[in-house]
Amino acid sequence: MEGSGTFEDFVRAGLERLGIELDPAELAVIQAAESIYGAQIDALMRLDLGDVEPENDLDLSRAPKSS
Amino acid sequence: MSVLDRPLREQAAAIAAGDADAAELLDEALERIEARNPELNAIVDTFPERSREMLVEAPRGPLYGVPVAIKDEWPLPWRAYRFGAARLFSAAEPGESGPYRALRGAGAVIVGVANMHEYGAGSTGHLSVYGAAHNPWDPTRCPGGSSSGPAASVAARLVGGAVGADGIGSIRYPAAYCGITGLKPTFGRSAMEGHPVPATTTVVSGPMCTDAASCRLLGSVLFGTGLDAGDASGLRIGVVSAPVSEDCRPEVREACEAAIEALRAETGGEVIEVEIEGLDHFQIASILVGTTEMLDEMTPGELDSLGEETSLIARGLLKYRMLLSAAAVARAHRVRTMARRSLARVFEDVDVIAWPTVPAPAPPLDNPTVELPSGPRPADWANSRAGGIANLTGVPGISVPVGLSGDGLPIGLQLLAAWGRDGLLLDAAEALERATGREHTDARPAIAAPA
Repeated sequence: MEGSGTFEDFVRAGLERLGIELDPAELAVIQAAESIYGAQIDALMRLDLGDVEPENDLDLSRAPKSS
Repeated sequence: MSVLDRPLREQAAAIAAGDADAAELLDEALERIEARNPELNAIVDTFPERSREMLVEAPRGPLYGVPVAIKDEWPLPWRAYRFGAARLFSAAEPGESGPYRALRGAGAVIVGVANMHEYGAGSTGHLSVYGAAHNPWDPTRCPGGSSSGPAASVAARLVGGAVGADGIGSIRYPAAYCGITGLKPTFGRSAMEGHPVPATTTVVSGPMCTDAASCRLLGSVLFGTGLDAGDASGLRIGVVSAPVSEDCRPEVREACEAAIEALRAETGGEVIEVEIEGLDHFQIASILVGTTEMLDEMTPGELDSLGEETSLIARGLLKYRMLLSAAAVARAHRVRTMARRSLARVFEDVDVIAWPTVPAPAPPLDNPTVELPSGPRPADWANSRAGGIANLTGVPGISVPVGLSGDGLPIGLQLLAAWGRDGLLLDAAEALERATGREHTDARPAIAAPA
């Protein structure tokens, strides 16, 4: 997200699309969460994951079959 | 000293040997809850007649007659869970959950339901429909979350053990804040039936007790199979040069480094520096995976109807989750694969990985932020950096008490092991207890002074 205005617009439009109302205090919580996690999400979006082969037989109780 | 002041395993042994009367122990636990709980709000419901019925019908199992608490995250036959929240998004009815059946089958007596962070969505325990639970070491401090009540009730010696749940560290953080031992099992190994998020790939039930031997006993009951004691000799302890180990309060870092050295010496092992490829991205991946798992139960209309009975923070965060990018969540799942392979490679070279369970001791309830070398941080963010990796990958983790801060607040060391090596974590925790003469394991807050 680039700039708080853009993010606020995104939040308002996104929730409106879902039919969810938003009060100013809730918006402040969302903005705080974005300030904490937004940069990490952006970094995740830029991460090159092309070399990570999917684990199609995922079993979280065991080690992956190939490492 | 009352039998109730002893570790859970000793309570069970005393009853089995005829040295303690289970009915008297139950009465004492109820009296102790009545006396100590008003200051802690750790236990949110008791049901003495139901507890007495459990005792009358209890089989002579490994926990026969031992009072325990269970987090408000599973139904009981006489009580639906509330998940620490005023409003739920799917029906919650009384019933026989997996943990309940495991406890009943072992002869345990459920003496109370323990408080938890609202929707299990916080590492502090300062938000709950029941009001905050309080840390027995300092009631103005957070007890940790989301298993706030189980940790506080064990630390205050209301019970010798409690069943918690861990989705992004929710057993390990409160164990560290309250100075007890908490095991997050390998995913899928412990009883979970009846949980509010039935499709979870991150949450597990687990034991929270004063010491490792008691966690072994309660864990074996939840696993439905023995976690036999093994040998941690020659333990290869992995450490990382990364913020998860270094961006911590100095007293936390020092206590954990001392504990790692004590564990190495006790086991005749070695400390090996390891690199976990992709570690920087595992925190956000665990949050994206873990916090979106319950969205399938929630419609926009239900979210829109939440009122002030739900905390402002919960309402805001639930709405934030509804807006998270599907691409980001999909990428988080791909990072999960990366994380699992990274850990699998590391566990070829070491038996455990060690770093602080939480980077700072329990923050104030009225301001759950922590001051780290990198600056002030919300406790939830700081804690999830250390805890989320186990839930993301499925590996087991344990928090072991290793000291007290200058303010007299507990410090915890986290150990992670490969899938299925839950027993090794308990072996290592017991070795650490031996190395320190149980100094930190047996430490207790003033409210829990032996009767």
